Amino acid sequence: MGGLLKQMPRSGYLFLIGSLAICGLPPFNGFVSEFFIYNGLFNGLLSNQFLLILFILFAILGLVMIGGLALVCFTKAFGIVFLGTQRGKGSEAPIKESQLRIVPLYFVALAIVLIGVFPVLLSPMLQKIILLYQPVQNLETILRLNGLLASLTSVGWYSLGFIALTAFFYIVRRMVQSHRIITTDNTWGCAYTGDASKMQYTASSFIRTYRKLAEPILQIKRDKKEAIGLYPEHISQVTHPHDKLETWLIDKPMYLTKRLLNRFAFLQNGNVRAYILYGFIFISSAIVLPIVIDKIILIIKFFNQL
Amino acid sequence: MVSFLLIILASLFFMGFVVRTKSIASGRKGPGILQPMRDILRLWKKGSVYSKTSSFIFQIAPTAYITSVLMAIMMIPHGDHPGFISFDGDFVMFAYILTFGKFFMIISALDTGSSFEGMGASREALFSMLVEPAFFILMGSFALLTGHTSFHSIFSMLHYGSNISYMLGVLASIVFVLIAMIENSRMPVDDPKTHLELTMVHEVMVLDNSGFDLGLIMYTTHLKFAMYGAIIANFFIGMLPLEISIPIFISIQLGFAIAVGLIESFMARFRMGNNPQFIFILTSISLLIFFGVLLVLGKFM
Repeated sequence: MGGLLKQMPRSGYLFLIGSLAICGLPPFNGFVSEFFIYNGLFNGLLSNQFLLILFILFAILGLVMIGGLALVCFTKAFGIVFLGTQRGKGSEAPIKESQLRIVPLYFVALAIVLIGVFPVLLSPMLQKIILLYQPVQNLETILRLNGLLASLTSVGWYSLGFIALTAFFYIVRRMVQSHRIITTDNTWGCAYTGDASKMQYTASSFIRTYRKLAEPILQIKRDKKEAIGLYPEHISQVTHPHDKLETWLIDKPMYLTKRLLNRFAFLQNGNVRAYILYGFIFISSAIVLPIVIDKIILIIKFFNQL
Repeated sequence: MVSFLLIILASLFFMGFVVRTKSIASGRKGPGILQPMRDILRLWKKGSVYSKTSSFIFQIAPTAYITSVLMAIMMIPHGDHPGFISFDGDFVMFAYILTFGKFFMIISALDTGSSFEGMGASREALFSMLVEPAFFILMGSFALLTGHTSFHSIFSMLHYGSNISYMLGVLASIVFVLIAMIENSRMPVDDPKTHLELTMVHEVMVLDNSGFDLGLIMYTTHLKFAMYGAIIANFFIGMLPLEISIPIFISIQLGFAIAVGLIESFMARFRMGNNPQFIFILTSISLLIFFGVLLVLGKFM
């Protein structure tokens, strides 16, 4: 992987727009949704219930951490796949991006930018959804919503301003640089002038420090062949991360339930007559059980009155 | 408007005071106050060398970086005077717009295909991920204290209640000084003077930037320092009139610059592996402030 941006530039930049949006960065649509959530959370902080405040505090912490993780994740994804140079042997055939295949991506990117810059466009739709939950609108809701929409309008305009300002600075930079000497050279390699493509940072080295922090909840199986001796042989390292939480909360209970349910496997014997019998037992118990329970309650009441 | 001009003004002198403090602390006379700015001007006049590997991302990243910081600066008020940009929840946009610039710097470091720059990029991404909760909890605490959710209304309403808000301001200032040190990759976390790539964070990311772009990146660091200084100043300005608040602003920026210089002179850089723990301390201090605010408001239990 690596250096795909030069082979498929359009897909690359569209991927970049998607990554920026999914990290919740302005001026894209992800920020609008994040802004909604944060607005709700920070307004919720003004409540008087201690437990609710505590809950919101942890929600904010979680949301911020998720934002940070998204940043790590998508800089990694975009950087490793599209930037730098090819990390492998380069035996793969050059990839050609077909025009037609990219067209739908342009629509998605357009929607991402449009929602990010003019979030108010979608407010009628949003109001319909709010009406579903709150058929009779009170004054407070309307005021809140209008305040939020006003903030969103400003977010949109300032996002547009941000794009314009970046473009302006870029043009200024181009104008200044047009009078300067611009040359290209190899990437700075600390006096190493050979092929550095295999020395680039890889995906697993990029997240190494982060992985060290998350080690307690991640099980990482490492298959490592280290360099030994003066003339080391081939060295390699393969890592397989496992989610410990997934193992304990999903895999283990699933396994245990399956084992328990396997004991009743004899019921599923493919015999149609047996299935009709199950149906009969179910219907009769559905009819008889309430009657029996009623009678029992009656008897208990009778004994209580004695 | 007032705050934007003041921050730009402060950014011109800030690093000069830091360098001067460091020189005096190490027994040297040191360069003039404007020397760091002169260095940047010199860089702006120079030509550039670009890596053959790099693409358009590498070209636009420094511009996106400085624009994001300028945009963030526009949101900062000066006590009672709002910034250019002010709306409910603007500090969310403030944090996210700064992250936008950081995103571009990280991918531009990966764009060069260097064997070192990915390292800095990885560290920068991790540290900014760890620093962010402190900022949000801090702003959440002040939103809780004042009942408002924009920079301007929070800072102008801060000292209406009891004087405990000044105490909270001092604690918050400590957090913001440390956030500024981490965000600008300065001493306890990263040593900007190191010449060994393996121990760098920010410096190693910009190894391939030169000329105008490098100047932009360096000036952005100055801007960021002045920006955090302005936030700290806002904790103490409140509703004071301009003729009192501007001297307070200048003295706080000066104090902040001297504090940065002293920290850099007398503190050693942490081991890289211990940095995450250090950064987590910020979140715990901000949690302390949060619970302090709850106590002040009598909302505890």
